Amino acid sequence: MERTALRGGLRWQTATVTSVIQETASVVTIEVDAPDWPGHRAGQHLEVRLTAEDGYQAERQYSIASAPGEPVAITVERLENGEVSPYLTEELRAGDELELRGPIAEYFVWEPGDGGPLMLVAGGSGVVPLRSILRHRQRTGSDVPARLLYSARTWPDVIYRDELDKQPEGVEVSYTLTRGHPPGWTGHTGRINQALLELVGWPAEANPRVYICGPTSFVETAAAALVGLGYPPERVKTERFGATGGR
Amino acid sequence: MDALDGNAIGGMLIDVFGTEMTVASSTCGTCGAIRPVAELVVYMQAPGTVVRCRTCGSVLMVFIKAHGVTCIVDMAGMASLSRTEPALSAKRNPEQINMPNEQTGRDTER
Repeated sequence: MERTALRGGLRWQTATVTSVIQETASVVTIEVDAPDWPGHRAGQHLEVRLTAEDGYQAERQYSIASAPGEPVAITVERLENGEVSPYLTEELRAGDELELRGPIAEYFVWEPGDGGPLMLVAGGSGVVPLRSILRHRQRTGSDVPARLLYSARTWPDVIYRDELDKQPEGVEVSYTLTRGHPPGWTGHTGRINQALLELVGWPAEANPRVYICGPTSFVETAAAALVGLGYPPERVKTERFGATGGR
Repeated sequence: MDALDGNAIGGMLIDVFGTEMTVASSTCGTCGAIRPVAELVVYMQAPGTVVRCRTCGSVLMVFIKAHGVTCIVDMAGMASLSRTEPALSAKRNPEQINMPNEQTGRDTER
């Protein structure tokens, strides 16, 4: 334990909510002022701890939605019967305090120096750490070409739609909708598969750097398909989230 | 129950080791598969958190977190865990944590 203490470990800190933005009917982005935040890298996550009046504590992990250098923000999807997300998505207001600690995990991170081209593959709220990567790319003036394939249930479920519409040069965003689409929809439909990844992704010869984030089955389908297309496995980074993991 | 991956135990690993470990390299004591901790299979819905080898499914680590304290209660299935990629810290030398091999006969399957 002494060794842990010497290295600092991860301390819980109190942040103040500065804004709660409704992204979709069930998703909000919570931006906080965290005075003790040590800074983060694009793609990392953090832990949120809620304490009930009786002292019971629940912790959840959320990907950081903002780029390095921006105020810390998380994007949270409301889970039916969830223990934490209904509070975060419906009760929390600007001015409230929130206990958090981080940043956590340096595997699923991207720096401009890592190069590309970037192939980003998002399933549902798996787009959150990829948004941080895209923002980091833009803020650092990186010219690494990037493609994002974002799978969502329906068009109204797409998070950050306006922001993704306004990506700078060098970023291409494709969508696939799995549960119905608006009239006149010209994007892709159906679940992600190898044919779709081949169509919208980079050719394997471009030696792309891949970040896949989404529910477990989504991530495994996407990763296997890309490796099957000849993408080098060591350049395919994955992050799976589930209901308890919170991301 | 969906399995997650080693990214999900980044916080617990910092609790135990005091440093970022998702980029650390793990070696399965059963099949010898080597991969970053972030790519291991993680089940978080058990009473504890169970970490398994993605190649052979063997249990590599079991964590328990209670009253704010994280403990690794079983690590017998892990042959080695080494951080060879210093991230933000200034540390230059790889850190190797060797697991004792003699802990046999413990059934960690749930």
